[in-house]
Amino acid sequence: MQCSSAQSVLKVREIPGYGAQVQDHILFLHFKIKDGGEGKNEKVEFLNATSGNGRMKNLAVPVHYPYQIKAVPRYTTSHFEIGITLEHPLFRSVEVASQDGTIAKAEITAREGNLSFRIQEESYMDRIDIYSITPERGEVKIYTLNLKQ
Amino acid sequence: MKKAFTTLFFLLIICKSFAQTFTVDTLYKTGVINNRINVVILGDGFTEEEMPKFRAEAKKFADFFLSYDPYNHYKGYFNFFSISTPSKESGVTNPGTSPDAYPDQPVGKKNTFYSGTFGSSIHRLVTVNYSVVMNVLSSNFPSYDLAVVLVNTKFYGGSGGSIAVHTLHDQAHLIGVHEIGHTFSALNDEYWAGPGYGWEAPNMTQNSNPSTIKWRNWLNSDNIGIYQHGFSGESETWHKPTSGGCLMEVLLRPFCAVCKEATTEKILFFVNPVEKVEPDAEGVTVVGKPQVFKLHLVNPDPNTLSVDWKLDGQLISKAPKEITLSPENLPEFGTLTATIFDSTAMSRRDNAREQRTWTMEWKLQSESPGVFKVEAAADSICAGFETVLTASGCRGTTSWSTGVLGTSLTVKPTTTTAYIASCNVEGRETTTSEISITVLPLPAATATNTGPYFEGAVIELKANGGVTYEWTGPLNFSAKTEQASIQNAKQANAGAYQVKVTDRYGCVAAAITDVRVDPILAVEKSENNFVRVSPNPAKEYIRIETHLPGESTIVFYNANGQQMLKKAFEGKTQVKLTAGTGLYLFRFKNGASESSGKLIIE
Repeated sequence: MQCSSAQSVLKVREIPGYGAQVQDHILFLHFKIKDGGEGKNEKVEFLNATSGNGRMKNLAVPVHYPYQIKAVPRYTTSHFEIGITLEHPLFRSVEVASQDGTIAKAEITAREGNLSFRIQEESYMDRIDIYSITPERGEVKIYTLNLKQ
Repeated sequence: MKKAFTTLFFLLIICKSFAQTFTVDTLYKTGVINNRINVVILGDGFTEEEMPKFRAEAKKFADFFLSYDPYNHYKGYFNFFSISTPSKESGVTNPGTSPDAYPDQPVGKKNTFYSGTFGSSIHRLVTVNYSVVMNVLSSNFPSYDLAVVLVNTKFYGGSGGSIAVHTLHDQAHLIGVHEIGHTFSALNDEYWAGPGYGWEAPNMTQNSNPSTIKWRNWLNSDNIGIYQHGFSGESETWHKPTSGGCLMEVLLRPFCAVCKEATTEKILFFVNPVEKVEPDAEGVTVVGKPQVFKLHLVNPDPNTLSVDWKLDGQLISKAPKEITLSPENLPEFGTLTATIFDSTAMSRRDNAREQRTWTMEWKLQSESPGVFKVEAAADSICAGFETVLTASGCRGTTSWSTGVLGTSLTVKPTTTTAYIASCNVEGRETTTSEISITVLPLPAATATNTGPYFEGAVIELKANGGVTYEWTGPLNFSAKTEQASIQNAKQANAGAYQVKVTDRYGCVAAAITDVRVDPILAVEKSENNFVRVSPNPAKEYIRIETHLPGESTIVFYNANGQQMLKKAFEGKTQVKLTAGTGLYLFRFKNGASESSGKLIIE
């Protein structure tokens, strides 16, 4: 992708791959997240978005590690807003497998990382709020991506 | 929020190029995308020349996955695709900085499509650039359900997350299956990963009550129990269904029964086994001639789907695929339903029938509803069997002489019986239709044998009462003849022999005969003998003498175990044995005293 970046509003119909004649769209969103310093919120930069056709079956790996990113679609209607829980790119918990069959968890931290996820587009979805959840700061909104049709 | 919104710096994304598209190969396509679980396999570190190798490895993983229990029962519920994304260089980056780095693995950086690399601090933690993976998926297969990245190296490694990553090492496939257990079935790990990693999942709970625990229906079977994750701190408050017996704990184990259940339920949640129906169930189906109603089902292996066809709520058939209805067998208006239930034993959920039932419904209109009549699935039945009576042509309510209401009636008469159905239409005279069900008696089956036998004898079995026979007995004995024999009898041949006797009407009855096979006894020591038989060897006449009071019996058998002579006497007697020369066996009995021996006739 050779997309320019740094944006707060995304025109949905101009997303690469968005088929205007197609009924169902899946948005793939990419962000860069940086450590904001001790006690400060993460710095989020929206990198780009692409779109594909179809519907998702809402399969997602369950994330229960205390460090999480939550993306919540917001609607102009009373549609129920269900957040997507994602791995926090700066605080990841990974599984490490061994040839003897044993598995263990390892925690990996980073100063900077990419956050990529997909979401089913709905015409009445007008923004996506992104929250950082950490044991130190609780749940804090760190970004809002506004959507325009 | 509004304030924050107004302070935002507005910029519109202007993309000058679309994401790249690649060849998407179909490995297995069993059905439409929106009614299958679609697994997409990507490859990293495969050059353009190595694309055939990548596709072969992708198929290898697909085959491994589809052979894994319980996925192997639902192969037809998955599609598998691979996306070929050639890398500039073959292999994977190995920083070689980790303490557990493999000593025989070359260190170096590779320019690969997804930047796959072994870990710098944990060597076998092989990762890829997740954003690049997402970009490829977005422009090539956005509606994927599960994604796996194969990394082109024989050295062991992999990682999890929403995209499973693993190498081509023989055991690395298990990493992918384990990770899909998280992503697809929402399973938790059954190894204790540490504080904060406990949460309610199909295979993890804080409830330890056997009567309410979520896997209570599996307790004490399939090695399922209630095991604490640990014995101190947070770990002792969490429980799992096995201890070291599940893929979610140890990669070399299969899924435990509880995880198989969760996986099976997820498969059946996402995939509707009713692929298509004929005719279309929309609107009203006008039946003007015999009409076939057909289900196109995605069958599990083995096929655990059962189908109930009902007309206006009454069961009319259990045919697995289709039924034919004629207009004269239908009311003027009616509703046909086909209820499909997956009765798989992989799940024991309490509400399985509700969760795993799919119902199709057709609104029917008969162009020529027939006169009111009754038909039977079988008008002659063997005693003990049942048949279904179906009434058709009634535009009102059908009632039966048994008191039951409805268009069909299941009956199990003990003797030949007539049933009357009444058609009640408001404002009209009630019409009736009668049908007689003939009950055929079961055959008078008998089974006999000519025993008891000694070892080495020929067992002869005989049955009677039918036209065909089916014997079964000890040592997997089977025969399909009226008379059967077993040469060279052994004690293991003793026991119950059952014969199923079928008569000319097809009715079946069973009979049993018990066969006794005695060992050939050795000649007992003289102090144990209660009888003296002399001379021995003898010519023809034999003297028999006992010191026991009262009546005694002596029986002589030939070497085939056939009884040759039986004599009752008191004190002593003399007998003549004219059966020819040879070895004979005798058995003496006086009250509770028994003795046996051998006699030679010269």
